[in-house]
Amino acid sequence: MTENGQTDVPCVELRQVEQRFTTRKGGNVHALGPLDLTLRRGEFLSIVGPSGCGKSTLLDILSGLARPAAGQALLNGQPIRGVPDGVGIVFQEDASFGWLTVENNIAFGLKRRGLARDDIAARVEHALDFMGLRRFRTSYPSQLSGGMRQRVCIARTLVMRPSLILLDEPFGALDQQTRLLMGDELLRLWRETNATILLITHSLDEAVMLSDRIGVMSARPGRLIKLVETGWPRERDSTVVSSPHYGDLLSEIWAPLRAESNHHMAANNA
Amino acid sequence: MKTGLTAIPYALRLLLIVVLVGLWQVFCSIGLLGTGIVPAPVTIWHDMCAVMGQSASRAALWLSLRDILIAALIAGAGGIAVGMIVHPIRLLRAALEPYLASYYAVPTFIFYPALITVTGSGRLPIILISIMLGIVAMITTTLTALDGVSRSIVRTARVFGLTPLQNVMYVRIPAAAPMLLSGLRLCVSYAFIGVIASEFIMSDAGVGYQIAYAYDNFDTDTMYGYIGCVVVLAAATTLGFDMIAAEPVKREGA
Repeated sequence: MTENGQTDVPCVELRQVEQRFTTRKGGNVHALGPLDLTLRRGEFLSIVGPSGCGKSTLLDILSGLARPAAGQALLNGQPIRGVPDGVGIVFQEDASFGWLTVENNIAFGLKRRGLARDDIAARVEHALDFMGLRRFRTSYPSQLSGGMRQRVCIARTLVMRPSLILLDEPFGALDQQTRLLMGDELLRLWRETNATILLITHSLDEAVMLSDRIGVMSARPGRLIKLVETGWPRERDSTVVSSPHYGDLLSEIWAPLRAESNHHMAANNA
Repeated sequence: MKTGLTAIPYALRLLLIVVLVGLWQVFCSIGLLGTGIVPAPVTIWHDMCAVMGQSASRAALWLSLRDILIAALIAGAGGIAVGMIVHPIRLLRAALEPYLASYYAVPTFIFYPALITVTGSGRLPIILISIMLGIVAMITTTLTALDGVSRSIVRTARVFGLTPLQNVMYVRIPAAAPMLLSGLRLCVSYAFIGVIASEFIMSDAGVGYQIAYAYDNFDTDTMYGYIGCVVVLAAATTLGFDMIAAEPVKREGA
């Protein structure tokens, strides 16, 4: 294990992964790839890219919600077929279950998995404390703010103890201040759970602040055009935004992203 | 207990009824409305009490109510089931949608004589016509309700590894519950119309038949008594549904 808490053991491997879609009018859209990427176990990797570059498609492939049209996606050395065990996902949109209380939301996956009642109760209690939701355990999501609802979704994912957590712009609907605070919490969770995290985000700030590595994707079909090591220590928080290195990193990922975004807009206007 | 601003609509609704019934009573009392044609509310109340005091009348009401419940339940459950099956099959939905949209353009009651020739007279054609009235409303409500379930919730359910049946039972139905309850309320309303109107047209039992019988025999007291009972029953059922639906709607923040 490195001093950054990562191992060299790959958690996820993408080999020449491609995705294509058929549109309703019968057209063929090349959405993603070919893409090669290795996620090291315990790593926090963010992916940024222009709109429509296939970031969410990549997440669907990793979570087993979609199969790649070509190439191989491996989790812990095994091909991903269907939704694999040990993978948790948090979406940008509110995915809390409005008909369940906070504690029943958190317990949802555990109950479906058939865990013993005591085990479920213990995990839920821990998650309520961990995510600062104890006061709201009997509340319904409609009674909570957007940030609190997202915490519920994260808690619901974490109680399953996933080894790989996929985050699809989980803070996208939150204000900047809440995003920074949630980012701090996410880093704390990541350190304490030793999970591998893949974050898809539009926010360069978020990617630079949170990640060990940042992958920059091209416009559609999304390919990885740059991988940047941030070099942050594992014990980090949102105060890194005041570091001079933070600005350097932002510039480093913005340069290729700017070119790609311009290319994307030009293509859309053509 | 409702307090403050939330209680105002309820109070206004009640006030509206009180004012209308009060005006009706006053108009009858001062002779503006002929009581031989439209009895005063107090008279109808007495007629209702008289009707409810007879065991034969209570049996007629119970018979109609039973068939209304059977029809509403079958139309509701059937409509939800069909909606759930059709919803994920895009081609099937696209093929069915024009028929669903134009279904109510055809007056369903024209099939009542045909149903009697197939099933014979009795309660079965009454229940069938009531199901036919309600089921399509439930199917379309179910389709719309499922459209409204957010994609992220559906995807979350998949990530939790739910089987298709678990997905429906634990996620899709609860997520769509507020709207499904509205659909069920429609089914009950259609069942009321279907059962009472069918009994009215061609039947030898039930509250619809009793109203028609009283009308044919110029027994307006009994007729209005039964009409009052049906109005109260229908209003109570709708109110009951609203109360049941209020909790899921409140939870969902709708």
